[in-house]
Amino acid sequence: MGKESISRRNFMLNLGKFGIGLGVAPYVLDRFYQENVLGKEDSLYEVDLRYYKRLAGSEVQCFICPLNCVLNDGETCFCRTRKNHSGKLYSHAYNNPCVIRIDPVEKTPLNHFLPGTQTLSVATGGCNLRCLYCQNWQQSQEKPDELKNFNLASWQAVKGAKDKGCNTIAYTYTEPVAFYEYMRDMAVFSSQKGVRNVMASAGYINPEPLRELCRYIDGFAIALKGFDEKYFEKVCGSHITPVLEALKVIKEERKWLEITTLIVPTYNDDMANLRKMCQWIKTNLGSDVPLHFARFVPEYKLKNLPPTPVQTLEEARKIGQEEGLRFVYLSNVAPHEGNNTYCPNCKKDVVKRIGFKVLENNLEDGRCRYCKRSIPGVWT
Amino acid sequence: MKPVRPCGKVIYSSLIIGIVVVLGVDGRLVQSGVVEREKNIKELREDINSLNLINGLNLTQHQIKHVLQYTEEVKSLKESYFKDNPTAQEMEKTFTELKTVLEKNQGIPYDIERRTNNVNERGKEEIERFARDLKSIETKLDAVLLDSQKAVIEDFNPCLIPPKNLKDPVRVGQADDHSPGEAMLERFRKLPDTAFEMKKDEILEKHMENIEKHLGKMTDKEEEKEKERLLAVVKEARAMSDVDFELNKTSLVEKIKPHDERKELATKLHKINEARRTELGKAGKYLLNERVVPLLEKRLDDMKKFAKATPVDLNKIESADICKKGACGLKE
Repeated sequence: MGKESISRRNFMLNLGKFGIGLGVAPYVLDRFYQENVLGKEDSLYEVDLRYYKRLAGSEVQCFICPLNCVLNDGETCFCRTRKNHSGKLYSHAYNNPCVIRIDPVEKTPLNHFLPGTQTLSVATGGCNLRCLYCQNWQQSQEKPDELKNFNLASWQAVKGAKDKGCNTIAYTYTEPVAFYEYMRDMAVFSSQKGVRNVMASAGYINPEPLRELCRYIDGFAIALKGFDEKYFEKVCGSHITPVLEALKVIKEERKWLEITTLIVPTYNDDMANLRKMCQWIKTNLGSDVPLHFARFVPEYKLKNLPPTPVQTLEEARKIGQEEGLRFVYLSNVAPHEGNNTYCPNCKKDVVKRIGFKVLENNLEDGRCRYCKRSIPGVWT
Repeated sequence: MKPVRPCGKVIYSSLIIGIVVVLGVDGRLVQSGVVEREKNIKELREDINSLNLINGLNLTQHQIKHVLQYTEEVKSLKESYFKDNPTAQEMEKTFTELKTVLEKNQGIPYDIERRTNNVNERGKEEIERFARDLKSIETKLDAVLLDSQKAVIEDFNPCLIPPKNLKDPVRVGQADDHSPGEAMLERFRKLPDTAFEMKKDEILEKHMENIEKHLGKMTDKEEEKEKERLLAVVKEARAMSDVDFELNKTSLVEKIKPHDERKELATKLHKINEARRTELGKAGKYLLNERVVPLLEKRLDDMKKFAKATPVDLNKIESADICKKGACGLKE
């Protein structure tokens, strides 16, 4: 076989191509690794076709939450995060959190989920509710693009959580349903990396996306705003039925669930109604679901109201206990015995807290140290 | 010139006498007014301190009833020791005699010296017994308080305006949770390099003033060292990316906290004394106190009278925005 000769020009050309390839390869590989292995880095993300439909013309319909928004081109969902761009629905919240903080997991609030551990809290702008008392309205009632944000890809959040010794990532503060795709992808990635996920939400979400979420979210702190459709409509701009359905879905999916009800004085502090709520919880979700009655503090559009009297909260707690709920807590009132976890059997305080700070944990392998009764929750 | 009538004489003389008397006792009146006001302010300050603590403890009716019962026990105990106690009476008599003798400065008669030592010894023993009895009441008080309430009492410093953690504690799910330290670091981070170089001394000076308010005046050397330490943390914060700063700001704030040697020593001393202590602890000092009684009685009364306000008519409130089916889209 004859020796093939190569001209100097071709040699230089090939060498150049090889050099460019060598130079570009790391970037391409890194991009591929980040997008496919670590998670996407863009803040504009096309919503999965499972959760929206292209309608006639350039209209689209979103199916993440029960609002099922129908959007013309250029319009944004009620939650302010999903926008119709020429017949395609995009999330503007992806990789775009406005809050990143390290908190105690009890702040979510979750009292039966790795007590005393830290969580990396993440929130973006936007919310599909319009609660008159929202304490985070500066974030929840704004579009993500209108806030000061951090560019935080899933892999960075997980790395940050691990570096700072957080056992969980909490999707919280505003409404994670509004940043569904970002939360889901981060939860997928973090669960692969051994960091668990918790979600604090109003539970106003459609069953299908919620079921998908249940595969990656380990604990839910759902705000059941009240037990009256009128209250949901007038005060929260929402409806009760989908929330009750969501609670049942979470229970069916056997995920850890805690419920919070903010008691707004003169608005939803009717004890007969709260009793009905407790009965519903017991019948549909069981007596072991912790219920937190939280104190309202004047905020946003309800600044004219006083804070909830502690006695009202104590009365609500008593009702919950009378109805057979085993773990009824008081939030935003500390110190108070309603902050502690009591063993339903021996009545001893198995986790002593002040607000969301754990003072003493008397649980051993999820059991009461004194009488060995198993206490429901995620303890390890 | 008109002659002064007899009734006029009476009126004028009374007026002059009155003025003279008033002028004469004026000093005393002013003095007593000052004392009275000083006392009032002191008592108001004490009551405000107590109310801040009571409000921060969220005591239940049951707990308040117990605290009042124990305060009553302390009162009876004090009476039995100081009012009807023969040793206390003898002590008062002997000390008065000793004082009279000392005023004359002509040596102390043996009998008075002996009686003084004797009664003083007995007095000490009685006081120790009194302290033990007082402690046993405090133990009962401890038993009705939650550990979390005891932790609040232990951390409590008398104040007129309560600190944020008592006045407006961070709530569940509340995003806005910035400490003053975080806010300061954020201010520093926002400054461009040139502005930072120009303003850093001024801001650090202000911060040092705040530190000195809490720790007392520092020496120049201490101040220099503190500034250097602070500046290093600020520079570290400025060099961080936004994400890193958010993740690390709590630990950075811990780093900017000044090293308070006096507080450390006081805590150490407190721990040593705790084991040997015969006097009341913080819980006893704050709650088994006669001045707290009317405050707690009023609180209990208010709690008993508590009635929920009339429910609002939801049809009449300005309702939240709601998405009408199929028309939820928000236009730009």
